[in-house]
Amino acid sequence: MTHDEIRESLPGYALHALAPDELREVEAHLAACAECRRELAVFEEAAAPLAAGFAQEEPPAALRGRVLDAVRPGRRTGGRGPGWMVALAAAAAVIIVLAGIAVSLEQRFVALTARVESETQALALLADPASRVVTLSGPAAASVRFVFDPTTGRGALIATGLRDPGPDLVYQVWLVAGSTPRSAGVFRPASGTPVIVAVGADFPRYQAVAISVERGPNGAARPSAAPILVGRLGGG
Amino acid sequence: MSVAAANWTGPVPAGFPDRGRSRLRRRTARVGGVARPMAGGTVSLLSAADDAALLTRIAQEDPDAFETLYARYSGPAYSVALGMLRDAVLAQEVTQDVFLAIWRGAREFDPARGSARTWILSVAHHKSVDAVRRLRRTPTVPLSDTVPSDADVIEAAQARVDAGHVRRALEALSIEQRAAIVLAYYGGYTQQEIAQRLGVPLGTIKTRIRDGLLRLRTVLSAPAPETAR
Repeated sequence: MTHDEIRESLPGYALHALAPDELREVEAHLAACAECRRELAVFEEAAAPLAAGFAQEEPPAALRGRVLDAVRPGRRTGGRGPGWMVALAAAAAVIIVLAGIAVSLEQRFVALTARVESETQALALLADPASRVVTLSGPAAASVRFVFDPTTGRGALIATGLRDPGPDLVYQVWLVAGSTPRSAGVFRPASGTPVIVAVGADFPRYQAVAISVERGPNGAARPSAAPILVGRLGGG
Repeated sequence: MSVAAANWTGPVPAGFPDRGRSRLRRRTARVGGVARPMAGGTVSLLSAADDAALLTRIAQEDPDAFETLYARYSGPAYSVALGMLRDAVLAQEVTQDVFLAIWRGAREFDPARGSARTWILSVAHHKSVDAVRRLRRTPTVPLSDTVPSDADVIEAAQARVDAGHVRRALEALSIEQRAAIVLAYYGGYTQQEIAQRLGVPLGTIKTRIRDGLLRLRTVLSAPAPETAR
């Protein structure tokens, strides 16, 4: 699509009325064209009041706990969590107080649970015939594969043999749509064992998965370095 | 030295700097916080800047900011999902998706491109439209042999508009503009589907949506006639 054709689709983009292939083209263009981004802002603000057209309802209170729990692993809001989880947290607190060891069992338990979950997800993906596997290539000598199911949006990065990136640095996973890389998590390699990073996304939107070295512990908002490994997802 | 891409020769995806780690070394610590000019000073401007600041904190994975944002926007976001899906369970799932997308994608919010409210409700609408389209793709047993007419489909989409001021604003559009916008936004149909259904060229639908949105902007930013009188 040309710049002018994209411009004609911006009002439809603001209403989320584009077909998937057109959507990808417009997003790729928007990432590169400030003029279109400015024009789109006008249509997005014009469309915004339409959201107030729906009958206004409050969601059930239980949804709040589910949403907040999802971003606060290990912390339960409202005390509706399983009793053993609370007991475990209490036990951890007692240990800290008594032994003065600043290690939270709960944190370790949550980290372990998260690891088991991502490993289970990776295994399920590998076993699923609908999944696709992409091998990342680049200057880093390592075996890194990305397995994903384009329909369910589940994916996992499986890395072995990556070197320690250096103190205070991490590996950051990116999903690339057009020229906009989106962070999909950070990790540090573990010697001898594969690292699995669970990645959930609408994969058909993205053309590539890439890894760069960024400052730890949380990585960067935008890549500050060239990728060391890249795999094509085929979207876009 | 580490694994920096000194000998990287492969294609670099767009959006990455093409040289090693140079920017990482040069970069100075940047402290978060929104430097939005506070022109005016009305309450709504304050809370708009507030919402943008919340999103900045959420981008830094601050769960307290996320909790505040949920308290403010769970109602409006859920209302979009419920209005589109007409099913409380599905609407809750979509709302949960919306907030997780906000948690993961807050750094994609650009205050220069629009308000935080617009961005949040746009995420909510986008996720709801995706869910509506998934539902439509799921084969269902037809309840009757009659195929709904264009008027039925437009009527069904328009029935989702509950608020009087939005109804009145839509009535200010031409019938053609209204049908295109209502089918797109409240019906969750693509431009192509609308063109096909109405038997009109795609370019015409694009023009109707554009003109309709621009008209809507004028109507909704002007004071409502009732209160002006």
